[in-house]
Amino acid sequence: MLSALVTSAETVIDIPAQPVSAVGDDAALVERARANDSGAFDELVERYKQRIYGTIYHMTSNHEDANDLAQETFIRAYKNLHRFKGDSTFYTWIYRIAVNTTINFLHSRRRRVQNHLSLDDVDARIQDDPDFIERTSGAGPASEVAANELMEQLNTALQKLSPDHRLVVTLYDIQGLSHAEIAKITNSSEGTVRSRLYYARLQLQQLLKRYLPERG
Amino acid sequence: MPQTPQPNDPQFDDLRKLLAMKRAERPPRETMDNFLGEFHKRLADEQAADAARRANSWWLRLRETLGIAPAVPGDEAFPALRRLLSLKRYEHPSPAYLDNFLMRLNRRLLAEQMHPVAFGERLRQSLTERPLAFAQVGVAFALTFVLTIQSYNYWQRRDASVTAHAPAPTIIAAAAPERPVQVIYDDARANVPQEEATDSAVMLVPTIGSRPNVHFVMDRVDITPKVYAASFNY
Repeated sequence: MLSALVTSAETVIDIPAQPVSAVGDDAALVERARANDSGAFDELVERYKQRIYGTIYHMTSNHEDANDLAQETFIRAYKNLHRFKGDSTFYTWIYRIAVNTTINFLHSRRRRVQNHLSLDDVDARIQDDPDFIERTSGAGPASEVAANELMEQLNTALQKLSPDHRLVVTLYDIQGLSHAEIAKITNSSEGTVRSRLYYARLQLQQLLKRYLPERG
Repeated sequence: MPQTPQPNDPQFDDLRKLLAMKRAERPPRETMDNFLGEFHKRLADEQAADAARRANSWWLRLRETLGIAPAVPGDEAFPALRRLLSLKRYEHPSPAYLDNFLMRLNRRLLAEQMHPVAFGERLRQSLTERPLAFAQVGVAFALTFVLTIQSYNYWQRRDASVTAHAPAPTIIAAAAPERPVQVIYDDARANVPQEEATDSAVMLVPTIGSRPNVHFVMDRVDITPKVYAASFNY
């Protein structure tokens, strides 16, 4: 059982966030988009919309906000495409825009109204995941409810973190980016990323105590 | 052989009554049942609050900003939490949810190109998004303005003070024309023989400033000067 869990965790976490071959394609697409080829930019949008939306959703825990901010991200990218020098990959650049847009939004939302959480769809395959089974006492008719409840608890706990801490947890533990990539995206050092990750996890460990084993 | 005391013995009556009173003071059973759960919940909340305080302390943030964040344990310290968080990957919108994303994006881009956002509106948005940054810039401008005014006033006052307290002769001498030097001779020593006159009698009449034509009173004069003074006739 334990080995299955470890394998499962490694499978999830070690997935490379960006296929190596896509980097070269991105550069060509960016060049074409700069030359007013609208199809090239559409291709970039199609390529990254899911990841950008996912990152923003995990940061905001709200459908509408995530959709709106993802569009805002691509609009800003389109308008500033001429400023993209190619020093970093397009992938890092678009992530940085998404992260800045989202953090600005979160700062303004914190002052405006109480956050309204809306749950995304939970994939039915979660019911076969050994980690899920272990934490919800097995699959069954009530497992869908248990899955939704678990996701709500995870989202609530994540929303209690500061935006900076939530960002590193989202990018590292959920999206599977490396420390170096996160450091580039957040324009900080790897040490800072590791430090934020550690303190964010300490908080989450306390907030999600009931889902974790005693010595986990 | 002494008899072993029993709980119901009369000598324990008072104690039994006290215990009965204490039992009556006990809270209802459900309260006690929930006590442990409440205790753990509050303990977890307080521990989470402590962790949040540590994570958001200004000292840690300063060290992170300066790039000297403390060394911390890595992934190996949180295996269970990482597996739990990895379940979030199952939470995503249905495939159809983002189908129209590109169409909506193009429509919005077109609308923005046709009706560009006014400068005032963009400023308002920026203020809404980053009021703290704007406040910092505002405070910085205000401080710079106040410091500029203060330093200007200081130098003004300092210049006035220097002018008021400057030694007048220096200023006047700088602008003065050539002044005559008056040597006062001691009549009592006027008859000193020439042989007694020594080199020490060479007298330098002080001059003010760096006048090019410095006046010397040389030795080998007929009378040795004893005292001298310079006076200026303006």
